[in-house]
Amino acid sequence: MTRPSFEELVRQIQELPALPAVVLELMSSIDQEDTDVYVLGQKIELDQALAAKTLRIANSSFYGMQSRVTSIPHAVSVLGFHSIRTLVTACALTGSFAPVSGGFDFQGFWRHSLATAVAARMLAPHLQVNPETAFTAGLLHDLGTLVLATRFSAEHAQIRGYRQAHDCQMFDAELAILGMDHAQVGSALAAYWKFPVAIQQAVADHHALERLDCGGLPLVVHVANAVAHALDLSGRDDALVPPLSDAGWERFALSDAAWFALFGQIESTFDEMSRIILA
Amino acid sequence: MSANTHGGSREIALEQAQEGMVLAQALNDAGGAVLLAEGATLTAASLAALRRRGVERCSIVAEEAPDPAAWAHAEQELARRLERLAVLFRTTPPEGSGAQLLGLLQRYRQGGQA
Repeated sequence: MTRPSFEELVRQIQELPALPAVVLELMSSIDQEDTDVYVLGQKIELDQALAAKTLRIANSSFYGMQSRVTSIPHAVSVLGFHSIRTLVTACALTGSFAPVSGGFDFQGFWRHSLATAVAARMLAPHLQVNPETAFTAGLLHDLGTLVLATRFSAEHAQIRGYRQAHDCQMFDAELAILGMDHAQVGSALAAYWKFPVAIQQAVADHHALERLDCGGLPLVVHVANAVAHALDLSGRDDALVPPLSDAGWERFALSDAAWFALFGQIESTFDEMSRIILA
Repeated sequence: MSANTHGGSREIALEQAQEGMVLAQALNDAGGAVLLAEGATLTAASLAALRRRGVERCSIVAEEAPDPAAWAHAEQELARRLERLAVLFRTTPPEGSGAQLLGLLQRYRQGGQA
């Protein structure tokens, strides 16, 4: 089997189904402060399934609201634009990729992505990173895997076979079979979709042990990814905790009690959100 | 052993009573005056006072008798979770941050004592 070139990969990415317009708009507005929240609310309401899921999460203990949130404009006003963007992005993205046949574990993929998103959101404040951006970056960190599984399903089956035979990390198997890994593929897709540069970088660097010393969003996603695997939230038998950056880990400097509290929060929030988003 | 268990409480000799135990029944002196109320936690000082007043026995709240089946199940569950951690961390080197994360998770699964 000949390896697809990076150019071919990018061409395949361009043939991927377009993301819902509202998600592209939300992602491109991450760095803008002057987004028209009212117009945004109206757009969300046009997609009823999206609006319904958004309201269910707005009313979950994830946000701990005292009173019931009953409409999208209400949700936007009480939760704020940043939170709404996170919710809508999560709901829309998880519904944007139709499962393919051929043995790729879609459910396990999204469970791990959501677990990483929840962990990233909880870890972010400890590194002065915006929690909402961290959630989105966590959700998208393995985007490249989706491209490989849906557009290069034969190669991806080989990658999974290699991974199983060698019991190695996915990126080792990807490099052996394809010569590139899901982080590279994912960052190409994030760039094609014009995601904010910070998110592109987090997708590209979440396994880049040598580039995580500077902290920030890539480090939050890197550690969140390891914690999500360590808490065994993907439900996959062959889950494997990836190598952790020593320098990055030390930047968190949390007490044991603080870690235990975080683990508990991540487990319960993931449990609640997965029932809504991945239902 | 002069212990007598019934209905969530246990009657014991005062010399067996220890600090931190909780009275299941008020202790009265010979005249009927309450020395220590029901629910009071015994302290070194109150135990000394009770001895001075010649109290010989007291009734304390019995600790939850562990249900052996539930206990065995919890033990099994913990063993299963610790085994699973070893599988999840099967390629993590024994030194470094990965090993630290594993150590945290092991203690978290055992009840999270810092």
